[in-house]
Amino acid sequence: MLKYILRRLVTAPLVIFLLLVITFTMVRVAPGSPFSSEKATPPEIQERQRAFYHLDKSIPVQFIYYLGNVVRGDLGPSLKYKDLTVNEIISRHWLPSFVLGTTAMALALVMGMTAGILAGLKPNSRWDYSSMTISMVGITLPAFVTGPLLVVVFSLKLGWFRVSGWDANGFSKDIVLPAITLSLPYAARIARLMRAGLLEVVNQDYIRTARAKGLREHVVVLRHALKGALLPVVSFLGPAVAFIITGSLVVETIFQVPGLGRQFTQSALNRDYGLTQGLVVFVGTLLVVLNLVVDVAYGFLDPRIRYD
Amino acid sequence: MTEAVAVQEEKKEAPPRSLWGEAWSRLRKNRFAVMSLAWLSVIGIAAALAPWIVPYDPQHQEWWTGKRPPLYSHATLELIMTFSEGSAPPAPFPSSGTHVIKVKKEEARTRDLRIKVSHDGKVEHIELGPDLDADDPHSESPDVLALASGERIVAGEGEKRVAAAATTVEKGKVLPEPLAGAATGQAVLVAQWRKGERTREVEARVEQGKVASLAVDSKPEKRVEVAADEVLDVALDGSPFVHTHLLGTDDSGRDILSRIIFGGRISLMVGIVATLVSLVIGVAYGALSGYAGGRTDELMMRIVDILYAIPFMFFVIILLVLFGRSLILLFAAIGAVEWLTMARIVRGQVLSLKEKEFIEAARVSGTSTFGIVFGHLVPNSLGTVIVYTTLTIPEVILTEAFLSFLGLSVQYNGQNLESWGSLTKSGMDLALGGFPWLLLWSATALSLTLFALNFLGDGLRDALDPRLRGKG
Amino acid sequence: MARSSRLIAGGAVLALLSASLFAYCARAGEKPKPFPKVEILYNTLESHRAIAEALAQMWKDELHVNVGLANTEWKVYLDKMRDLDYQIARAGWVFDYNDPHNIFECWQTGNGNNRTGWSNKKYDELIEKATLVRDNAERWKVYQDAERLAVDEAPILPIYIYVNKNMLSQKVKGWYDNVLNTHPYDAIWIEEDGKVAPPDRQKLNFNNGAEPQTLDPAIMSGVPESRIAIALYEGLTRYDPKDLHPIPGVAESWEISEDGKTYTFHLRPDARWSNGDPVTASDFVYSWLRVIDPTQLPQPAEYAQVFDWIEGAKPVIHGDVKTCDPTRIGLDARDARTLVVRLAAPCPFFLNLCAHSTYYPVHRATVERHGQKWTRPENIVGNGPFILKQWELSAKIVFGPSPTYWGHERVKLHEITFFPIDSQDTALNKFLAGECDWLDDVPIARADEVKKNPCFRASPFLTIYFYRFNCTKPPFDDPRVRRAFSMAVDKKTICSKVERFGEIPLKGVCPPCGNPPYKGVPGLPYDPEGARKLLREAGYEVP
Repeated sequence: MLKYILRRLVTAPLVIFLLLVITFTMVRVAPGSPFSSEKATPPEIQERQRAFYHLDKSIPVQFIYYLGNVVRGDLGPSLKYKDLTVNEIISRHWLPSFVLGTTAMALALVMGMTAGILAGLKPNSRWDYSSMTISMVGITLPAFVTGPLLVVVFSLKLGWFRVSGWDANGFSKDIVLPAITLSLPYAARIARLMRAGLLEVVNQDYIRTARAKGLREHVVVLRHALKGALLPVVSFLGPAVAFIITGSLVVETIFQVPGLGRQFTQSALNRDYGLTQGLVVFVGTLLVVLNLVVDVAYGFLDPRIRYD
Repeated sequence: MTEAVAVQEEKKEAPPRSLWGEAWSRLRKNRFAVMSLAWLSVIGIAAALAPWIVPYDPQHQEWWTGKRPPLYSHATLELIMTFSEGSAPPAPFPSSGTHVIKVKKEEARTRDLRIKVSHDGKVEHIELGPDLDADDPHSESPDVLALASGERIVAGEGEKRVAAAATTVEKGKVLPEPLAGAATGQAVLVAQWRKGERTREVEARVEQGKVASLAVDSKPEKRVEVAADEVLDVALDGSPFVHTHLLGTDDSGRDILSRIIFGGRISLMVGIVATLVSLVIGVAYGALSGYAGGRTDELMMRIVDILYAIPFMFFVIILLVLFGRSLILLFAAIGAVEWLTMARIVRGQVLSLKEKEFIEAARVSGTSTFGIVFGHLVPNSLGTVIVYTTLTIPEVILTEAFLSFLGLSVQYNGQNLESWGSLTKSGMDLALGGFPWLLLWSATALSLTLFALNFLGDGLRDALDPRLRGKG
Repeated sequence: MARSSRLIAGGAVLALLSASLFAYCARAGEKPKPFPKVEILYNTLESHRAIAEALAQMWKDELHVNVGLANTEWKVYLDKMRDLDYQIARAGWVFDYNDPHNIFECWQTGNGNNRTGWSNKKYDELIEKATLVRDNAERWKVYQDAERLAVDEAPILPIYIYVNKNMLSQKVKGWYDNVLNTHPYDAIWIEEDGKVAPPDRQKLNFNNGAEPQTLDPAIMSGVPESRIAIALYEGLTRYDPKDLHPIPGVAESWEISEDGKTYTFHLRPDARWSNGDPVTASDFVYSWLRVIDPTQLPQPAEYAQVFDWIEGAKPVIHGDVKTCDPTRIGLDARDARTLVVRLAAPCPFFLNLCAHSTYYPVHRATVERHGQKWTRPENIVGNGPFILKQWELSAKIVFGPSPTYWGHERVKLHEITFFPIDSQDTALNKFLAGECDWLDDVPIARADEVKKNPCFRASPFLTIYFYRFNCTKPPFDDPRVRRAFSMAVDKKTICSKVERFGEIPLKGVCPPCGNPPYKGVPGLPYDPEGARKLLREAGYEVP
């Protein structure tokens, strides 16, 4: 186990380095300059801009320089937002994304597991059919369909929520619609996984033994069956974290949430080299770490798994 | 639900049949899978035959007929139609055979007019747009608008159209009838000031695809220009020449049905081609890795692990922004993301298959490694591959939709290739403005197709490999 | 004899032959050639495509020329324009200040904004000459001569003058339609039931459309930034909210020398920074030198060239002089309240420039203490009517009134909130839901809906839509071809049928602007027959 974690920790920087090399080369090879604008800037001034951001040096030199800064935790300046560094932009945008992501994930877990347990305990019942049909709808309706529909109904028709907006001072009801939109597909997937896991576990020997011992049904379910059925859900959480990050790109666009997701497309469109690179490094690191956490959690839940 | 159906299925032992025959009969009993298959066939055929079956050119803009509800029909027009003797008639009219085209149009000197009205029906503000026929066009906000002879104010559309002549609109006074009626319940009356209106009839005789004679109010002419917004009526060979939009029109007056059919073409094409790309890479990689085993296998799978950790979606976005939104790039990018899972699944299959006797037999009989991998191992894991492929297609379609929602729809020859994703995006913007059907159709098409593909995938899985039931 | 006669005859035959051959060749050269296929370049946007399609159709109908459309992403489009890698390209120009010079200088040889490769010595001279004329009515005459040249040689195809498409809540007062669409917040107030609303409801919510790139006036260049800058800072002069003529700002009065090259500004005694320090003449000298001298700013100022007018500044800005000697720049703080500015040429619109954001002062001690971080809400010091209270990235920026502003009694707004929403549809929905009081643009696709709204206000905007011809490459290196293409375009149709907000056809190259209003020359007529004739003259076959 420890060896496995250690090996993962060693490959993690490699992954991030790889990310860095690819992004760095990609933004520099791409056509279009970060300094071109509709109104011409005299070439002398553009030259000075290049020099200021070290873009006048050769690409390898730039890379080494950048790498040195990244190692020290400095992602460099943003080319578009001149008053801010990439570190600052990320540190001032990650919170809404994080709050939205975790709320959506929690919501997905609660909704998905409830529906999954209800369906899995009474297979082929009306509960089962309805929750599985709803979850299929959840999987196939993309966020950019559910999001606008929710806005039409709850903001424009009923006036319960704002069309867009985000309260930086913490939780407010602004989070409701985006979090629901983001959580639906994951809730649906979790429900299906949960149901399948339960169906499989319920027929296994240790559950039969528990029942035979005369334990009450809810004790059987909660203590024994759930733990086993949770496995597929946990293994789904790893990739789900990544998907939630990408998924929030769309949700942040629909609801104008001031998070990191929206910066991605914008920074590439602006040719903001520093910000694009910084975002990839940040999100990449986050993903690597989260995947590791999920894998370790999986190992704890299922002692049968051995990490060799 | 499908699982439930399949559970009952399994209990009745069917007489032994070939694997595929058995799978097919199992699939046929799954009502949802059959319905999905039917829907997918309809969509697939429509998409494949799109250029021949769409009612109208999906790119053709007629903004003056924009945002109309389903079943809207209007006279067929182009922005400006130039008839000239000896050349082919302008665009919407047939450029072959012999026809008579009659266009009734109303010419006028027009200015846009907005009149703000207060609650009690009094005029608050008059805004008169520029007179483009004048030497020095500019907008005005006069206090009084007194109509001279030959001048009219026209408001409303279709049957609600009203016209006022010989009247005065004055700030602080009540709006005169019938304008007051047209303005009921509105804070602003959007109207048009018109002068020198006259109705003219253009008649063009087309012989062998060329305009043979041309007349305006029966007077022969060499060349006539008709602008869309002047036209009252169009007739081709005596019958009205109209367009009917079954699902309505979008903001630029483009036919939504045609756009959805063409959008499906792009969405399905991306889904299928990118999945095939991932299939080829994934199957080859996975099979080789699984067959080789040992250190090679470990190394190859370690690479897959590392690639798994890379947020490819972001790379796809950056790639499309920076290097242009070409179809090839999109196929490659999505294929490159999706092959990883395929490789893992195929490897697992191959690992369990390669110990089987028939592989041993093949090896003993001297079949080459390549022959064993692609002649025996891959075909035998086909069932799993097919199931997974069916489930990858909706994922890819969704990925493409997601990208085009972010404004990164692919382009070809400088034109956006609209897919269901981008149609939904533009529909969303307008749905919020009070035109819900623009969102409804494309969202429904996309969702139903994803729905069907998922059901079919589930059904196939149940049918082909009952052991895999319920995973995911 | 016979021999010589034969020689002569042979020579004559030879001469005749060669002459006829020459004539044949010459005629072959004159033989009309088919017009090559041309391509319109525009940046990816539906509305640009609609116009490009209309133009392509007109050129096909009238000139029988096949025109293709090519669109590229914004940054690539900008590169292609700069490198003259196009044939015909869409373009736009937003005026920086209310004077014709702003557009006329673009077509001078070598101007960075020319981007057509067009060069005309006489035109260049006329524009130079105009800057020496102090009387505007006289100066307009020089510009008209220049405009005639530009119209004649048609390096650009003018199309129309934009309209402002504002959505303004009816409770907002003190806001006036104007050609720069600039609205000083110190003049604005909120009205409720016909009365001035109480202070706690004096709130203005505005969609600025983008996150500002910077709050440092020296390096800012965009519209969203300038909308914020007029709240935070104040120049020597400022714009009158109604007709945009320069009125006293930090300077309460000024004198202009006979030759128009020396400006003496008298600063008001009560002009203060938001931390209470007085605004002095040396603050201006410091701030302006900061832009002129490239070694002083962390990031180079994109708009530094607006200081070209100041004596000694141009060579420093453009790198001809490597070190900046402040004593050689025409700025002199005679005492705390007197600033003397010497110009390299009598710039007739210098007072307008003084209201431009690049000319705003910054607080020296703050800039020096905090370096690049001086614009943070906790550090920033300004001299404008409002102060920065809150800056939530990508969410909102909030301003409150500045108690130290010299005209603070005039200021009625208690709070201004700027949203950075980039989707026009979302912004409009927000406006309709009452969450926003002012939008400075609306989505074109929703024109019909917007026009029915009493809050919608359309007015002329000092911004032009035009197409550039690439004058360096065939076929558009021939002025006759450019003229032909211009004359085949019916601008009235584009304005009334393609655009939907009452855009006005642009005849010459300059819209009416300045004070008294500059009246342009007639421009090329819409004349398809004449256009075809010109194309034939240029040697192309036209059926």
